[in-house]
Amino acid sequence: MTNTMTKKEKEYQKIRGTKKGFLIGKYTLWQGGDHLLQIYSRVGVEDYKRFYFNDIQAIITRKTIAGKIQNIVLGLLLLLFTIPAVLNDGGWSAFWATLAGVLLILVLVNLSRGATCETKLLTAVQTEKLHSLHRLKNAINVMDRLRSVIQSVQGRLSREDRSKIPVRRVNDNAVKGSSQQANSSKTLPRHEKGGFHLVLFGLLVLYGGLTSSGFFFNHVVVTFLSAIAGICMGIFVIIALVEQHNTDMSNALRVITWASLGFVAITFVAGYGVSMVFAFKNPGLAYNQWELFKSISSLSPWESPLVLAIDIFAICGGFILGIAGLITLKKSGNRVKEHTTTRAVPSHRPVVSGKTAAGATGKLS
Amino acid sequence: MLNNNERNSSVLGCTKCTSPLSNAMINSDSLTACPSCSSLLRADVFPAVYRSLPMGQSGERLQISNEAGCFYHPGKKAVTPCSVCGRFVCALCDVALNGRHLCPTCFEKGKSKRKIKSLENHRTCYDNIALMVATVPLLFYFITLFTAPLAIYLTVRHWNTPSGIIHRTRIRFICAFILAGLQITAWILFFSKLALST
Repeated sequence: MTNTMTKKEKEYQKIRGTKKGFLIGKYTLWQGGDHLLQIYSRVGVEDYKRFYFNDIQAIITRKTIAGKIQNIVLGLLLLLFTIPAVLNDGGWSAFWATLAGVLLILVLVNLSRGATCETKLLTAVQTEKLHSLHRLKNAINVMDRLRSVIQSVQGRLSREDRSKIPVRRVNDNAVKGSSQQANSSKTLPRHEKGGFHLVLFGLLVLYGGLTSSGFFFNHVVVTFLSAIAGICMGIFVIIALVEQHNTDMSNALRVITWASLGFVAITFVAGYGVSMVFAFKNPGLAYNQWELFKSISSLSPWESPLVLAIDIFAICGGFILGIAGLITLKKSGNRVKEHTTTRAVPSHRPVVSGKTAAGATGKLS
Repeated sequence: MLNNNERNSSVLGCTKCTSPLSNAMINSDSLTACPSCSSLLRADVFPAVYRSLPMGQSGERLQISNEAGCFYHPGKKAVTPCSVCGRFVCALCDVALNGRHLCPTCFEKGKSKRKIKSLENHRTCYDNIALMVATVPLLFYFITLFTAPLAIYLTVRHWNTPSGIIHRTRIRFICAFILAGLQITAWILFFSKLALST
């Protein structure tokens, strides 16, 4: 009896890591005697997927930027709540400070859990996402352990075998003919120079500069230029996001562009909020757009804590994102140049037909 | 039409941009950048990537009249008896599962009646449901008048029903039973007081 119990208990061992669904549901991974078991459990129901060690062809772990985006969003919200907590007094200050405290805990927890990743398991007939392995630190630890378990079942992949994988792929493409090559080139990401990104980051810096000038003097021209820069930022951030889709652009640049979208959205909402508050406070000006615009232009950040908070956010966001974007864009430009020069040197790989090589070089240059 | 080798090799690409993985990226212990999209990857590849998929078999025709025939295809040669019912089955009907050989009927029965654990891909965990029925309605206490007996019914009815595939204790059932019992006791006290006061 005791033996049966022990056997039952040891049938599956829990593998570290859990992925919770949006509202309900939870993914967990378990190691059985000859297979991995992925369980998706939700209100009283469990679904199972088994991956036998003997059938697993590969497990690919890819670092993702989801964690960084979470940190940026939480960080911006933290900043947004900290400013009124510092500027206000009494009960409101405590309220904002509590919210900021909660966000700070969330940021710290997210930071301590480390970078995020996506783990996919491949067999001959399926590619399945291992949801519970979504934190890089944990996924690497688990993979170190699983690799030895799978190797004990399948054996090791020899160096000769390993070298066959990419060579065969490229050969396959060379043999299949031009139509296949055209198809395969469609799936490859295209090269993007980042012209729209350059304009966007330039506009962000300009916006930061124009907003900071409001601390020293207020003029309708400055406000007008800021508004134009804001609109252009909105247009260019959308174009940049469309342009960067399915390109070889670096992840850092993509993150900065997405963060810029968040920044632009927040500044738009904040600007709209300020104008609404101003219009409610001065109902006489509400029906005259030009008078309202002039009055808002004459508003100094030193006079209103709300405007001060928004201006600080705009200056920080504009300069940080703009400068970081410009630096990253320059770096990635240099990397592409280096890559092009190294690709020009004849490769040791046998294979690629003249057309393919010319196509690849043409794409990179 | 791709052969097995082509199909196998074609799966080994970056999970983001699908471009092929380089030699250096395979089975390296650290993260390496994808040459195409710069995503950091770790690819653990195993020898199964070269193994070709087993071909489906068809039953051989009976050559000699005294040879054993398949139960389902009398004209075909039997290759093995079913591990459950003992019927002779041909290569076409033979279902190999975890070292056992099953006939299609036993395989189907095993799946529908949940006799073969490794074929189960879904289970209802009544212990979780009972606990939920006993706890969640506490937020709207008046519903517990109906849900507490339901929680007790679920506990008693499914005490012996297998729960999740991972072995676990009956602690959820016990908690549900105790909580539901307390709720019923509270309602009895409430109604008895009400009856006494009127």
